[in-house]
Amino acid sequence: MDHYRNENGEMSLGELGAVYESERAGLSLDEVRNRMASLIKIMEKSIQTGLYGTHYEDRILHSQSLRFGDMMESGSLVPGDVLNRIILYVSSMMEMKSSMGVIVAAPTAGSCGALPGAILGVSDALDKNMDQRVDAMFAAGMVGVFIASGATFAAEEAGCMAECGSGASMGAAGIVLLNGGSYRQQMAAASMALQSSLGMTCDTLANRVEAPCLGRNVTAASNALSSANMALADYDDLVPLDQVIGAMREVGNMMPRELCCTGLGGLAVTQASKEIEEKLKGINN
Amino acid sequence: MDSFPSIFNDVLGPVMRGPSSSHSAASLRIGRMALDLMDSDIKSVTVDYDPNGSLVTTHLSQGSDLGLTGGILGWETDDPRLPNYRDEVIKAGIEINVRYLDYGANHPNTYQLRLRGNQHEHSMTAISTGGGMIEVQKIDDIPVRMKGDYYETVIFLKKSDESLSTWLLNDESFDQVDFIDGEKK
Repeated sequence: MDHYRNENGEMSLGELGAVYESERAGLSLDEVRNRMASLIKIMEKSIQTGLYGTHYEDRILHSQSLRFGDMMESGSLVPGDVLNRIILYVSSMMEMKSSMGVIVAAPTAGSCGALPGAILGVSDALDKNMDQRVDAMFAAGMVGVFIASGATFAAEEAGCMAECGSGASMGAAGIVLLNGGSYRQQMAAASMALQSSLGMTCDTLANRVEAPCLGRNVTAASNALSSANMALADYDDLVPLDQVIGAMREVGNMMPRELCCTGLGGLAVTQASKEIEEKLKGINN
Repeated sequence: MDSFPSIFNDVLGPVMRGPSSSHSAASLRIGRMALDLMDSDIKSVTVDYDPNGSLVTTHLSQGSDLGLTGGILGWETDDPRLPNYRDEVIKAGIEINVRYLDYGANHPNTYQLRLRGNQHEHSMTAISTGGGMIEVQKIDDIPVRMKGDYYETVIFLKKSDESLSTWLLNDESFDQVDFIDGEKK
């Protein structure tokens, strides 16, 4: 990609993502940009719908984002306007998912909150228009292509770093772009966010994809925001993104299967997890 | 054939319903591939999950059954009927059996399918590789590599046919032509 940039001028990661997808699909740049805009509208609609409250019997967590939103409005939370908005969006998206609503698996369903919550939360806070949102999502998408081809998005292969870790890395690049950071800073943010995600377990309660997924999505989105700001201030990422992705693949291979989405280890086998599982059986029967 | 991930299909997608993309959306895509292989003629499906993988403990709670059924019914990944897949598949008169079988699967998300219809019978092995991405690895025990992102035509021959091979290789309208030796089982 660096080679392509050298030949074709100073493009952002977002512009490169759009070129990549247009070449791959045989569609014009306008077509892929329009398609990205409609994906973003689906994400925004999921978040907005989730904030009205969702209902679904067969799940662990009820709508928690409503109270968070109220407390945020009334100033009862510890201040952190952008971060709190991100937490609100991530929660809403995860609640849409657990109520069988429409979501975008970005990059996966289990991690569908982190990246959209981070990029759209920052976009709303900074009042960015659709064009800028599209650029940010393409930057995130490009990082995702590197991860999917160099490592994996499957928690079954590499634990939660493959899902929420990937979302954090992708989101970090997008946020840097939204704030006008350079290509180098976008790549550094993606690298730093992924470095901080290695080894994360996938050990879901009661074998559902709700908890600790919600908290890990929120953590991933916070990581994206922090890494983006560090990169904007030229913090040194030290290890280039492609090498971090290589390390991620290796760490995944070393992880025991009990911690890779099998429900056989970690939080999944706690007393609380077993009790939740029993309770859910009651709903199903 | 080999291909790079698509931002829309694989990275920022699919648009879907269900708990997990590597379970619900991937299994739906696997079901759609099976439906195509069977020319939309499916009466019963047996799916085998290997206890050494991840699906025995998660196929029900994370939506593999939901997705696979939706795919066999020909639905999209965001179909509003997905939560009611159990009723819908009974209405469609399709029988789905799940078995736990140690068959030495080499990937944690392996789906081994035996498909029966009025006219056809096939087996298919596919894996879910994360975020809704899939790869069909075997059709009737013959090794293939299909990710569902290209139109691919499978031609079964009883014996090799040199004139057909030459014609296929010389026709520039195909992006890629592969010849695979194998015994159909």
